[in-house]
Amino acid sequence: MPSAPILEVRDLRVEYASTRGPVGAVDGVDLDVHAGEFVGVVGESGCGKSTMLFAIAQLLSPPAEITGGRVLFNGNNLVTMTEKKLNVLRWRDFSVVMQSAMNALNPVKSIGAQFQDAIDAHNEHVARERPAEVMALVGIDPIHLKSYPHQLSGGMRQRAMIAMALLFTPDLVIMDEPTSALDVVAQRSLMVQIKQLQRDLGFAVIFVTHDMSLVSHFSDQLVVMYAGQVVEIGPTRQVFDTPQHPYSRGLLDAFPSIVGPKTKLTGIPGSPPDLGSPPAGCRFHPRCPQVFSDCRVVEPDLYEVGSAKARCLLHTELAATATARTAESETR
Amino acid sequence: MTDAVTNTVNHIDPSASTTNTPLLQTKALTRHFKVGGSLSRKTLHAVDDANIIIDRQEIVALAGESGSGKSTIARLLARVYKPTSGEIYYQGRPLSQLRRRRDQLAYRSDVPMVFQDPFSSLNPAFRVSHGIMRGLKLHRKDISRANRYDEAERVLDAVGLTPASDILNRYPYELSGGQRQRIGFAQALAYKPKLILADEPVSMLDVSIRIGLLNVMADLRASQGVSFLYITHDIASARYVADRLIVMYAGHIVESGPTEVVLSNAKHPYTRLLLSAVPDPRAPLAIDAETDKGEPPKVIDPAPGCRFRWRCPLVVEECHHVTPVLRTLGIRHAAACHVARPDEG
Repeated sequence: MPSAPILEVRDLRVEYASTRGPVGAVDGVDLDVHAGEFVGVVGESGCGKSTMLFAIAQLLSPPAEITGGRVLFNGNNLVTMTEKKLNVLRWRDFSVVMQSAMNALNPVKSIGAQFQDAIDAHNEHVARERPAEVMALVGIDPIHLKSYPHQLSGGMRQRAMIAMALLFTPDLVIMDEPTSALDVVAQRSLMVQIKQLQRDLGFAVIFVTHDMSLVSHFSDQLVVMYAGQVVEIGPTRQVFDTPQHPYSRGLLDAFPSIVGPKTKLTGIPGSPPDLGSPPAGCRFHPRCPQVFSDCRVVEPDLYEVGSAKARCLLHTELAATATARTAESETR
Repeated sequence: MTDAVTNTVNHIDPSASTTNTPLLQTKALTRHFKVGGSLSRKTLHAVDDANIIIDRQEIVALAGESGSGKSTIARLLARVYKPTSGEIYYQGRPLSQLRRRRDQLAYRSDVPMVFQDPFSSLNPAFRVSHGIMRGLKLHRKDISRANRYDEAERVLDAVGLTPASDILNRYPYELSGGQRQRIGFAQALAYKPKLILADEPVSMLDVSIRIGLLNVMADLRASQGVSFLYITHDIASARYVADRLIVMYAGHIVESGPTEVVLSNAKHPYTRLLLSAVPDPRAPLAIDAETDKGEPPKVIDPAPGCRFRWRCPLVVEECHHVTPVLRTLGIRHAAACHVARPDEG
């Protein structure tokens, strides 16, 4: 991995204004993305993962507002940048692929015309063949540049969106659940394709999904978010093999496997907390199977565990004293 | 054809409480749609010659990609569409002969449907109690008006929504996606059903709460004796809950059999493709495994031949001319493929 990250997110905070006061949707997120790296971001609905993406891309609109932190992209702080300067960077240096390609494309314009829109907006000199080139890259016959979105299947529309994101060969492509509207086979082939493109063209990817299994074979770094915070971050394989946060373990045990013995699964009981008034102490403690008394009081930090980091008090000396205490009184 | 088909024809007996009559059976069920303008003579073959058997207390998974015809089958069974040809037998009685309104209502209450999208299938203007109480009023004449509320609480308890009295008074927007989908199941359960048609009930939900709903299905089968037709594109979840698995491709049933048997010994190349697409961190993966970029064809006025032949790695000459039919290849295991070979011995 190259040394300097292309994207450095430091202590990013986003709040939504609401009638009951501000709701902290993203609470102090730190994240480094290196050139050519594939970063998976997973968590349940409402954990702030999409809000974080929008904050990184500076696409938030009221009532959401960035209340603190920095987003350094190639050394420039995007948070304080003017809209005019941002418009130059957007799409040229980093692009965003939205969740539902069904709605992200303009239904009354051909795909090619929408590509042209992006090119015109940047006054950028782009070779005439470029749109056909990127379509071929994602495996669509360039003849479809003349097609309208309704003439393409869901998988092709999603591919066309990715092709559009690659028009200017950006350094970073931000993807918000690009495969969630597709079925398994299409999803799988799209993932493999994204990975191959990324290897060939060398751009970095931030990939948000609620399906942890989806990124398991594709991402280099995995970020697990819960209630607006990063609860675990580390090399993907390591997080999968030895999850250090009970929430990551819960997510991992939440889906059935097609291999191995059939076991009864429970998922994660309960639902994510109301971010308007998050629980005291560890935000996961009401749902945590390994909760102990300190979890209700002490707010955990990200602790280093091997080459990963986990926001869990089990990795502090508090856990040891707590187990000693419980061993005396009762068994969990 | 599975051997069950051959020994079950007993649909003359209308009482049909005999145990060897399947709960629901379809014979050569076919549904075509006219497509194009009013002058067009094109027909889309959504479902062709589907033979399905669902037994009492059985969970049958129907798997396939979008556009494979699985939802059309659910709608045919729910009588949203009329079959183009073929027949559905419910407890041995052909549905086309349900003439009286009372019989038709009885069928609808026995075989309700749970929809895919819990965010649009509940009326946002009414409390949760509304949908359940209406179902009780229409379909449960055995319950007096005074007892309806208690019954509504009972079905909410059965799907794991507690405290039931509190939930009943809420509006859909006050509930999470998982809770809403449980309401969907509760509404179906209020009819005292024999078979619930669940059309992708968990695909809109977060992965972390899907398993809870799959558990609800398994629990309802055990506690209420309901059968399920579980429609999904996720083979792993089918494995988790279903006893039997039916795989569809482009309107045809291509493979069927006990779930474990089909998964461990998939005969049809399409089933194998589906299996390889399941993202599973516990399974090994070669990223450079050849990617399949195909999609199920729109089956408009098809010529004979296997509909999977354009994507199939094992295609032979015969596939282009002869439509394969389901052949028994193992114990209760059948596949429609010219290349597939029966089990040894």
